[in-house]
Amino acid sequence: MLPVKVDPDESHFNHATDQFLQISKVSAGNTVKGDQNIMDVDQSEMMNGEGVCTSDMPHFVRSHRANNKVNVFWYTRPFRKRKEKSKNEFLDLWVEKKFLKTDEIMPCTQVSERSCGGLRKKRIIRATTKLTLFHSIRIRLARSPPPLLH
Amino acid sequence: MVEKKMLLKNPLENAVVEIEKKNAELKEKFFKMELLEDGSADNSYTMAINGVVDAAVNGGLNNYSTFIDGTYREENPEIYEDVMSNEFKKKAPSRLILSLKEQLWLLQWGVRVHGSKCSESLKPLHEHIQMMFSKMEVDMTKMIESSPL
Repeated sequence: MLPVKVDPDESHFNHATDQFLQISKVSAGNTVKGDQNIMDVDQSEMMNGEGVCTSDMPHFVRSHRANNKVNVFWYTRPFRKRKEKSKNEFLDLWVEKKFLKTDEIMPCTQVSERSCGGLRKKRIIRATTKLTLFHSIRIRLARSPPPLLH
Repeated sequence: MVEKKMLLKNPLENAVVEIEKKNAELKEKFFKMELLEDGSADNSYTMAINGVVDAAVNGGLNNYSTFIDGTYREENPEIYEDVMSNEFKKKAPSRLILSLKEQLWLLQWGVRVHGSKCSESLKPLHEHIQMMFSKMEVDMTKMIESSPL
């Protein structure tokens, strides 16, 4: 297992005799503005908030954008540029933010794929009390056992 | 995987992001606090203000001083090089000052509202917050004034 802090380089890809597995927890980084892909967005917008939305968006809009038709994922990795530690730890805190785009949309993240489909049609029927009574009698009769034949 | 992209955030940008996040949190909290009846605010509001003020007075502010007075340019040229690498990153030093000024303004508002909304039992802590905030205000203003920007 290759620790997350290690950034695989030439030595790992081309000269190592071992095989490595590196696991990172990723977050959805879907779109920023409408259907615009996060991979095409410039740095200023990506840096704003967590890459998915801007901080002034309502919670439900952010949630929708983060969880629908997801095919971009991101993760961050802190690292140090200098080998020796600085007196001020803030000066050593560099962060790499990596975005990964997959060919397929993540399963179950679009409405048509979910078990709960969207509402397509709505119809209202208003019944009189007489009709309701008639209906309930019909149901009861249908459920009751057939009369015995003599 | 069909595409890969990497962004680098330098320590100055990280500081800006953290302060902006904290400001957004404080703003939301203070809006809620303002709607409460007098004397009914629980200690979560007190802790939110105290956390920021205490951390700032007890050394938290010094962490940013190098970015504000510009000494990081000589001491950490790798950060300066990254800051100057594109137009967006060049704005980071002024964004840091703006976000600190915003935090100061938010805390002035928050401490004032907290005085009337906190319960009687939290009044002694409120007085401590007021004292610490006055110190923070002086230190932060001095630090911001030292900026060459």
